Amino acid sequence: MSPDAGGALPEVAATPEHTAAPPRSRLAVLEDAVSVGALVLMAAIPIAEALIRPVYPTGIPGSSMWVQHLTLWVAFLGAAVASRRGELLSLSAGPSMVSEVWRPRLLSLSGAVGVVVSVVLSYASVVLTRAEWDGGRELALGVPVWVAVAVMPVGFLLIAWRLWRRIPAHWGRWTAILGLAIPLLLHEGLTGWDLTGYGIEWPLLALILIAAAFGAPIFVALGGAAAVLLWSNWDPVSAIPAEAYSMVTKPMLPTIPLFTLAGYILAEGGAPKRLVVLFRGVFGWMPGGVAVVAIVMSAFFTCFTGGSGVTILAMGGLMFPLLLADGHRPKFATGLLTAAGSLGLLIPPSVAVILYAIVAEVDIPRLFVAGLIPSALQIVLVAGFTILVTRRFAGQRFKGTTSSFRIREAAQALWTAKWEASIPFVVIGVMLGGIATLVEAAAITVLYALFIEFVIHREGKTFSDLVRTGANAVTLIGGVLLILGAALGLTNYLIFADIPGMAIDWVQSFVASPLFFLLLLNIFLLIVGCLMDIYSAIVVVVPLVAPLGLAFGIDPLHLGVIFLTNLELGYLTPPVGMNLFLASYRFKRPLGEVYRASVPFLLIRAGAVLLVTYIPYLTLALPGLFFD
Amino acid sequence: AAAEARVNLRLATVAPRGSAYHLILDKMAAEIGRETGGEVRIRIIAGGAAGDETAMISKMRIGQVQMAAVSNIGLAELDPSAWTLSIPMVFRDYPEWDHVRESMNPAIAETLQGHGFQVIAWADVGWLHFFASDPIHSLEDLQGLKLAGASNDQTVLDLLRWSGFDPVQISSVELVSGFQTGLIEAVPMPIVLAEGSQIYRSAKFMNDLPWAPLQGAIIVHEQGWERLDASQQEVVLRKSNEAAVSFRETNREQERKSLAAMKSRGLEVIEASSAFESAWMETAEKLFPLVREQLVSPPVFDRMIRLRDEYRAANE
Ligand code: NA
Ligand code: NA
Repeated sequence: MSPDAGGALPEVAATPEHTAAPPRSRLAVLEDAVSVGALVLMAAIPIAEALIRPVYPTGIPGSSMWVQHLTLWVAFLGAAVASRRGELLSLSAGPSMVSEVWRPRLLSLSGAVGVVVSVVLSYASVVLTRAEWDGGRELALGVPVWVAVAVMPVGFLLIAWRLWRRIPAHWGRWTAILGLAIPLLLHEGLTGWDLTGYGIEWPLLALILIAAAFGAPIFVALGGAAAVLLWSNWDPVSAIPAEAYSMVTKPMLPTIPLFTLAGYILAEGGAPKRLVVLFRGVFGWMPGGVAVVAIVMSAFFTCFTGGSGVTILAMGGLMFPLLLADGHRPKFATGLLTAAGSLGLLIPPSVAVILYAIVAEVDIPRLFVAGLIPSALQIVLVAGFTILVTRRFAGQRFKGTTSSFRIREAAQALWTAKWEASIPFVVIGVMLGGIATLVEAAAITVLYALFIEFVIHREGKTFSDLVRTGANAVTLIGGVLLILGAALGLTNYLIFADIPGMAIDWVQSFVASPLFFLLLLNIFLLIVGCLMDIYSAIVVVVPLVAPLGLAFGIDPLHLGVIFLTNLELGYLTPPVGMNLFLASYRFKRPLGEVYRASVPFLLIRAGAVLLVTYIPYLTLALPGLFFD
Repeated sequence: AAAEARVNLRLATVAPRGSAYHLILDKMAAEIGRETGGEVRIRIIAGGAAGDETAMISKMRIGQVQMAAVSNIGLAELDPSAWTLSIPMVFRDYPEWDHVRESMNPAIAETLQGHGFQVIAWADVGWLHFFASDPIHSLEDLQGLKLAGASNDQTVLDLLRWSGFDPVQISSVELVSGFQTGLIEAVPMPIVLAEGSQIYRSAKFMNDLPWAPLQGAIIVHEQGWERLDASQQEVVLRKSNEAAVSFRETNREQERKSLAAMKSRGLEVIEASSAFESAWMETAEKLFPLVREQLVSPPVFDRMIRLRDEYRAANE
């Protein structure tokens, strides 16, 4: 699951540890093979393209079209794999809050809603596939587009089937089947009844909300709400798969699965251990050096995985014991790792930044450059606080702080981790050196990560380890892209119901100053960050906020940085901030303790957000320097 | 009863909210509403809110959007014959192009109708010119640069390939950063778009050779069109043609303004030498047979050249 995204089925989280493979059916083997194969092709095509460019600039015919449509396959087959493994992202808190008696009932109900929504989305995708069939558009080399699109109805149907099989109670399964009557009755094309205007959407939305709270996957909540709202606005429900299709096949989107895959290869290949050695060698001498190592490590990993959730799950297990061994109290370690879990979100090649740039139509390299000072500011503030706290207790408990900096040890650590440590330079060098496009840079990063983990540090890793890593990555990618697609359905409703237009009029009618607007924006984004995962928040909220920012004269780059740093803060905000749940699960501490442990860090990061918001110079100085 | 009889149509465009183009469409919608006694209501979805041209067409197919203002890049997704009037080096200036399209466009419209889309008015996008990071005086200068073609538009890539170039496939969102990092060094682009996308900040040189003209159209999906009665269709046709005339005038005016604005901010415009033009004419001799055979059909291509030559003979 993507942790990152909103919620987690903790027992399946994307930690490198989970591996135990139950026997798979033939369908499952095929699903894994095709999805991992598609992901491998996605990386191979851009690499081939970048390699042959010096001799043959024209490249592979239709290559970007192929890569974009492979993204669609990876997304939907990956989501089907995730549903088979029970790893579709959902909100985890709900089921644990009710009694043993009520839990299976609510799980059955949410399962039934999940099945109905998935079947509706499958049907909507059939409609879209047929429209593409009629259109007769061609991908390249004679392959029609509908062939690529047909993966959507198949994927949704597989998901519906798996959700159905997971319903615990017998009556729950029957409820799911009977529940299919609802969309049939509401389908005007079948019944000839126009049932809009009677308020039927409200109980349906409430039902979906309850289902989401008690274990239905997040995509069911977003896609179900989108379907109901589109229906109530006389809009075709096939707008949801249509939006998912056009988003997933956007030219920059393949970078998201590719960078995620690179992150997985590194995380499961033992890179974290070598990096810890490196960062300890470099920062270990400082008071609170191990804590600084944790901060830097988290930032490093978040920029690859794009999701703070992944960072907490992957880094937490590694850094928590190290922090304790260094003399930190569990509460402090918990707070630190929770807060550090999203620090790298603005650092290249973070996919959150890429997605924001795609949706808001700003230049990707510019947005990355704009985020450098704000990122550094956040890291320095959190690290500075950590050092201050550590100094107060120095000499009493801390072991790591007494060692002094030894250049030889640092150099040796750097040598051990030289390959991993050089990744950011490879990525940024390829991107800014005019050698490759961003998609190619992402593919090259995958190749480089593979080279490091399976050639340099082979350490007995086998081909099947590689396939397993690929399958784990596909599961996360599918889960995230499915949410993204469903969220776009909701965005489609908002746009066609003209809600951004109304929001602009409404806000402008009582907000006069840009400063007041920014303050409202801070509060609004804090709430959004609490309630939505970062990908859905970007696709649903950016189209609302970007025109408003423009109307108030906020620079689009500044707005992007405010948006992302502010959302990160939401993930730390009690009572529902996502990273708090993940940390509670990962560190096995009660939620209340995680809240208290995170508060000092929350306040520091809130300070950073305010500085970034009200001092545009922090964001705009570097892009001005580099690009104008 | 009046409320039931009302036809609601949505018109999607990538023209920015509040831009001259958006205002023309708004005015058109208002006038259609007035002249049909409020029976036909058209809502404009501007600023690409309904997605890019491919997404707009997909939304027309599933019935969420009924009308769209698209360029021939979008139209070519429906039928490649939409490229007919945008072949490089066929036309020298607007009068010549306008004359030929008058006669040719009905046939293209008929083809598109076969795919379920009614063209209700033709409009302009403007000429493609070469923008580059280094001065382009000759064909050799251009050949020495890394030339970009948008990866989502296979036809422009093909046209460049057939002209003997090896274009770099790059997505349109990466054009600006592509120039900044040196991944690309030249690109064919309409003047208004070059200003809007700020491409001229890195591509500081433009050769003023009118390479290829792009046209656009206002289209309606048949499912939307059939919801209008004959008199309503007449109003929509008349008003959208008036809008198309405004588009044309606005676009040509806007081209002049954009060019002046870019010049004042450092764009250097290089006058196309007759040597550059004739080198391109020679290149076109290689290009034309491929276009004639593979992109548009031979009879259509031949008719276009004949009409052009007739016009040239009559006006020289
Ligand atoms: Na997160
Ligand atoms: Na995150």
